[in-house]
Amino acid sequence: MSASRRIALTAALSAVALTIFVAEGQIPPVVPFAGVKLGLANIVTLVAMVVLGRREAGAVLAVRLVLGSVFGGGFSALMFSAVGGLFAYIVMCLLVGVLPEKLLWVVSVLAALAHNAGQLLVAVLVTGTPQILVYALILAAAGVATGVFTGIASMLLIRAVRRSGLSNR
Amino acid sequence: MLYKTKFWAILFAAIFLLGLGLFLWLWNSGAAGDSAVARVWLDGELVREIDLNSVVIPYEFDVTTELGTNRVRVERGGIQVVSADCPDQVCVRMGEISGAFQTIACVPHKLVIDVLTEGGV
Repeated sequence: MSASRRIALTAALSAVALTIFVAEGQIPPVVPFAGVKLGLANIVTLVAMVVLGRREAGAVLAVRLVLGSVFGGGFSALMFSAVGGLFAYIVMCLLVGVLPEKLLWVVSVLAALAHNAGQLLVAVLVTGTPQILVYALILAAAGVATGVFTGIASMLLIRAVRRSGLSNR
Repeated sequence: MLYKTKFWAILFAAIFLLGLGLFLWLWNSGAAGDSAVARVWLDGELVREIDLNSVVIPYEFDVTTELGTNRVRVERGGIQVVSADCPDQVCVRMGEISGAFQTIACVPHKLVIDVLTEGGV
């Protein structure tokens, strides 16, 4: 893939991630606990990592986090999504390419679990109130459910991107 | 083993069921306590205690810090955040809590409300 095509695709995926992130913020959550949400924007991070690479996925994540906090949420939301997003990114970096691609949904679930663990950690540190660790249970269950969903979505999207001829990976 | 779909499917199903089951069990376990005291924490410090069983007339009060304001409603046996000037509204959507292991957290305002019960769990 040419350098300009890589940059263009990275930029396009960043825009998609930001759009999904802002749009999801407008939907009331299905589960009214501890900020449980689908985390649809993580689909794009995972797709970027498989189709483009780790560096590009990191760029997509960074753009989404910074601009996402500008478009809504503010600083505390940024801290949340930044630590959660970073934890998920690290898990993806470790596992994409190690696990076979048919198990990409597994990467997605582990990333979602890492994301939720990161967010809860921030919540405990910020509030200084470890009682809220009871949420770890519901966040673990939610991480599995949302991770499976976003993982399957990622696998479908990767297949579509490859078929479109936009990528040769 | 790590390359088998079945291994992961079973592991994740177990995490999901255990997490959800334990959470629901804990969440509902303390609901029928003899005493229920709501505690309001700001930045890890206890700022207010309310004996929920001695509340006769429901009332509301504001918890205000430089970070923002949460309006809290207290009634016999239960406490909830009815409004907050934070962007995410997670604490408002939590609804009313009444038992042990139930917590409302408003992270942007560093506010946590939990309930201490005796004789329930």
